[in-house]
Amino acid sequence: MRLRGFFFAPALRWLELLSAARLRADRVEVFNAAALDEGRRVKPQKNMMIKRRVCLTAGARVAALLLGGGALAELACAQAPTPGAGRAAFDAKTMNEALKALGYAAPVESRDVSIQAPDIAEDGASVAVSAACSLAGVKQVMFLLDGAPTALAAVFNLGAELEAEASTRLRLARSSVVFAVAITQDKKVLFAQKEVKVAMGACGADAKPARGLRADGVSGAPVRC
Amino acid sequence: MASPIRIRLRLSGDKLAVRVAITHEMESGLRLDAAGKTIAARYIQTVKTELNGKEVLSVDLGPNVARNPNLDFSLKGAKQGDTVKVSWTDNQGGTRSDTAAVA
Repeated sequence: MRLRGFFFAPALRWLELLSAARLRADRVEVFNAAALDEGRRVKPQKNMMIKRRVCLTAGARVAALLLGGGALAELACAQAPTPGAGRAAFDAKTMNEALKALGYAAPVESRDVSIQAPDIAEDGASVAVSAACSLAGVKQVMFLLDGAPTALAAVFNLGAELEAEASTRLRLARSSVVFAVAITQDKKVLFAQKEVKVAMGACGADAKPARGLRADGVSGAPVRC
Repeated sequence: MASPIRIRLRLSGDKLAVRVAITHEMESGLRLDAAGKTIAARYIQTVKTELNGKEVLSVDLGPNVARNPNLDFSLKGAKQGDTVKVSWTDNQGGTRSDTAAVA
């Protein structure tokens, strides 16, 4: 029954299901939800599997139709400037999610992108990072982090007058890998990475993020990062 | 009233190195105050840069950027007498803009 409801779900739901990854995630969710509902481990039954397969195939068809219709709109969007767009990307937890939210493919590590950051940062509250790209036609330079609650830190939307270089200062709660991503006009997504060890995190001592010094060094206030 | 934005411009040839220093708390929304309540997030979301009135760079920032953020970048084709205007907007609607001339 759950599946039938799923199959006749409203159009918006189908839109959500556009990506294959999302489809897979939902399939797992159905399993888990069923197991939770009945309070026991449920093995997928054969007919359930078949229904699911039908459902997934149909989903793929709908997705293909929508994609076909949306292709023109997408072309138009590709030319439009993106400053300010994609605030949602700042909520993403990982680099790939953030790039996807901005409409880009998974990044490729490249020697054309360089990143500068300290090996060891004494104070994670302010870590200087800079990035440069040797390719022509770079339209965006971004900084991302792993080991932070959200991945994306800053996006530089470069106009034609800008050199393909940028630097800023990031807040690192703990030792993290910092990524510099460069997006070119022909939608190449390239990155370089650098691990930064943090002696004192932006949210207090590295080992004890639950309670410690505030980022500005004022003691006493409990922090959570 | 927010503190002024410090804009440092250094021209070498036709390349203009710009360093922007903004005074802003960049509160991440993850910290707790002494009473254990979450301190509301307040951080700069967008910094726009104009060269002679034409927008050349917009930077989107998130709470992962350090307080009192610095932004460094370089402009091509700038010359003496050009003006650089920098303005920022934070997620609570706070804003500030300042201008500097290339010396």
